[in-house]
Parts: sequence; structure tokens; C-alpha cells
Amino acid sequence: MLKIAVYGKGGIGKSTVTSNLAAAFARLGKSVIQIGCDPKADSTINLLGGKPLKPVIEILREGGEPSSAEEISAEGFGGILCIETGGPTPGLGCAGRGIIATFNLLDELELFEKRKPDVVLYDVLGDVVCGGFAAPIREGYAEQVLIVTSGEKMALYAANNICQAVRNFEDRGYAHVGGVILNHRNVPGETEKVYSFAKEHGIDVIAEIPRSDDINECEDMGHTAVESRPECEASQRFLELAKKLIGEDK
Amino acid sequence: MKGLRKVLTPFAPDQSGAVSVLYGLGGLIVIIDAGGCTGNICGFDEPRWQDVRSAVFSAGLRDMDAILGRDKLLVSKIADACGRIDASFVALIGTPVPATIATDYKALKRMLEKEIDLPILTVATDGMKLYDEGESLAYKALASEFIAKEGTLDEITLGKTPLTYGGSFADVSLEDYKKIGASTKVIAASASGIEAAKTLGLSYVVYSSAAAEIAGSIPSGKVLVCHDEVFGKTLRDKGVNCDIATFFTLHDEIKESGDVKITEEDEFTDLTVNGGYDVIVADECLKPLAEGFKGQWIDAPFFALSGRR
Repeated sequence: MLKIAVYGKGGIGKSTVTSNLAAAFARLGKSVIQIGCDPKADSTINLLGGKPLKPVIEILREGGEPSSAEEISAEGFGGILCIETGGPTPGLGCAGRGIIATFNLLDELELFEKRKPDVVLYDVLGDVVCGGFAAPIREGYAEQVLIVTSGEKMALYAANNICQAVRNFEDRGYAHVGGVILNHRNVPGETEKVYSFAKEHGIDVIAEIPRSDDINECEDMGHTAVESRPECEASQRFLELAKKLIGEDK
Repeated sequence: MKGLRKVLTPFAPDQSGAVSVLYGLGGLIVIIDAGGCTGNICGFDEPRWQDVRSAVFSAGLRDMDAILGRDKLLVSKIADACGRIDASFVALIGTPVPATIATDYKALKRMLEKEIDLPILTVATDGMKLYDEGESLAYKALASEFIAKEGTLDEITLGKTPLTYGGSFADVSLEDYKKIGASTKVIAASASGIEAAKTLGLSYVVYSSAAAEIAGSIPSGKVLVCHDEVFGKTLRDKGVNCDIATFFTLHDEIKESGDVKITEEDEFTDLTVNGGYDVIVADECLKPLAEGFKGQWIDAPFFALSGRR
């Protein structure tokens, strides 16, 4: 089973990258689960035709006691099982605790044991700000972290923080950094900056996603580019990345 | 009102159950709390605390430990304690604090294993469940570290802890657990004993010697037993015409028509008034809930409910 957590600065395109990558795995015939770990709960919306998914925390808030994965998930493009952790009302409670509560529920429901997916993708909010947001890279969850960044200064700053956090967790048996995904914003010197960053940290740039109107137009329709325009350049890059990750997993 | 207790005090929680299984096995037991849970366990839920020495400590978590996630400090404190105490293992017991700040027990185990040459058990109790579930988790942790098919062992009783049976608990040693796979007979004496045997994949019999002892003295008629499920099952096996009502786990394999798992005081009261029972076998702490009951009450102390041995 390929278990990947996608991290990166807020607004850098993590959900877009994760959803397109999920769709690419699905197009390659893989059984996929995508778990959005962001209180905004919008990670999987473009796998579900633009329809928001009710987050797990919302179900628990209403007093629900889910006894099966079906009650907290929805199937999207290519049979991808979509789950959103969600979070508390902004300004209240503890979002990190919400992620842990969701993961505990997934364990209780034996989601992975019963569904036996080929790929699990965790789409995680921004930086690793507390224990809850590190939960996706704990033992038993993701085995590798993919960092999405552009050449923008603050995106690279966040990427650096994520590398540092993962390194700090080495003695805990957490996931390792599997590589950087360069999501182009077309800022000056972008490619050089990101490759330099990757070299400095001893990791690879494993994919470059071009800035693409295809992605934006497909998202306007509630789809991923890989679903609606599989032939476009951006989709091809996601399909190549998915094949690469499957190859490494073998 | 759902969940409101007007008569009964809170039952022993899961962390107390975990300690109940591990107490007396020669390990260093570290309760991951600020101190209150440890006080509750040692002061109220562990009758052996007054009689038998055991290395039970609080992690002594403070506000900044929770804010900063200072796991390394905890590891160094435990390593230091292991240097002073001759322990056969270290057990970390969860409470509401680590559950709230999402302490990662697998990570703590890895970190401790690098520092200490002892088996590390982690029991992710959270203080939100009842003692029998904590006992089951502790058995699971024991199973993952110790239990093998070595040696010979005639008979072993699982789940006969002080929380269910007060002073009549089974004194099982760590050496016994290590040999459990070779045991000729496994007796599950309570709900957690059943779970433990299942975890280990062992065939077992359900039997409560405490229940068997009183079975002959129970008058004929329709009987309600409010205790652990195995206690009730044993009475039934001994010919007592009883229904089981339990605040704790009720396994499908035990449950018969008329048996119920209850969570509210009112549910018990309703059974005593409307159940048509002639006899109730239960801890006397439940008596105030059965004011309308006109039949005979036979006291069956249940430490996890009342703290009575």
C-alpha cells in the first residue's frame, strides 16, 4: 500500500495536486482513498463533482456514532473514497485534536483493513503546527511526505519548516520526505530556486506541474484536470508522477 | 437526564483497568497525567496499593509539557527511574491529558526502546471508557510483548482483577503470562478475560469462582444479576434462573434473551420495578436505585462500582 502525505504552504495548491494525483492513480486502475486533513474540508471537492463532503467532525458534532466507512465518506471519480476530517468552528476548540479524533475513528472502523486500498493520500493543512497535524505522518499512516512548493519565498520557507519537522521526528519512526512537487507559479528564477532548495535538503524534485488554465477551468466545473482533460500537459505530469510512485513502491 | 448520576459515584475508568492488570507484575508503571489520575488509581481503584509494593508513578505533566509536547523530557525521566528501580518492563498508561494533546504512544515506545533495554508496553487508555476496556487493552499490550508458547502451565485465569473481584483476585505473575500459550486451560473470569483470550487466540471457558460460591445460596425465583457478565453467566450455568444486567461489556456469546447492557441509573431502576424479579444479586451500592423493589437482595460486592472489597 502506498501511503502519502502532501504538505505545503497554505494556498500553494496541495488539494489540487492531491486530487489530481488521486485521480491519476485511479486512472491507472488503483483503489484510492483521499483524506482531507484541513478544517476547511475542501480537499476532495473536485473529486466529487464540486459537491462538498460532510466532514467527520461535523457528523460527530451532531452526535453521530458512525459504524461504517460509508457513513463518513463518499465515492468520487474513479471510485476514489473521499473523507474530510473537518474541524471546529474557527476560533474555537482544537483542529489538531479533530484530526486525531478522525484518525481514531478510521482505526475503529478498520477502514484500511476492510477496504485494502492501493493508495492512501493525506492532504494536510500548511505547516506541521502541532501533534494533530503531524498525525498523518505517524507510524501506521503515511510513509512518505511530498512537499508542494512554488519558487515563492514563503512557499519555500514553509517547505523548509516541513523538512525540519520531519527530520526532528526521525527518532519517532515517522514518514520520510519522498520529494518535492514544484507547482509552478511562474515567478522569476522559480525552477532554479526550487531545485536548489531540494539539493540543499538532499531530496528530489519528483514532478513539475505547469501553471495551467486547464486545471482552473476543470475546477470551475468541479472536476480535476486528470478527470476531464487527461490529455492536457498538467494531467500528463500527474499521470507520470503516479506511475513513478507506483514504480518506487514496487 | 442522560448520563446524569444522582446516586452512583463514577465507575473505575479504563486507565484504572489497565493498571489493575499490570500491577504486581514487576514493571515500572507510568501514568501519563498531571497527578490526579494516579491519585485516583492508587487511592481508590487499586486495593493492593495499601498492601503490595508496586512501582506506579505519575508522569507529572505540567502545562508547558502539554503545550510543548516535551516527550524527550518524559523519556529521560523514565530512563532515570529505570536506573534506580529493578523493573522487568515499562508500561505507559494513557489518561485524558495525552488523549487530548494527541500523544503518540508508538513514537514514545520507539524513543524509550533506544534509551532503555526493557520491553516497553503502551496502553492508550483515555479515561473516557470503563475499566474493563482498559483491562482488555492492557492484556493486548502484554500479548504483544511477552506472551509465547514456552514452558508449561496447567491453568491460568484472565480478567480476575481486584476491580471485578475485590480481594479475591487472581495473582498471575509475568512468568505465567509468558507461558500462557502453553496453558492447558484458560479461564475467562470477566469481560476483559474473554477479550484477552480472544486477543491471544486461545480457547477458553468462562467461569467465575465467586459466582459459583454463592450460587447455592440464591433462593429460587426470577433473579436479576447486576455484575460482570461472566459472574452472571456462571450463576446461570449453576442453575440460577437469572437475567444479566451489566454496566460493562456484554458479549454476544454470553447474552441471552432478557440480558441487557445498561448505562443509566434509571435503566436499572426500571428493571427492579418492572422486571418482575424476586431476587436481585448486586452490589449494595445499587440499592438506593431500587426503592420500589420488594424482593430479596443478595449482596455481591463489585469494586469497580463501589470500592467495596
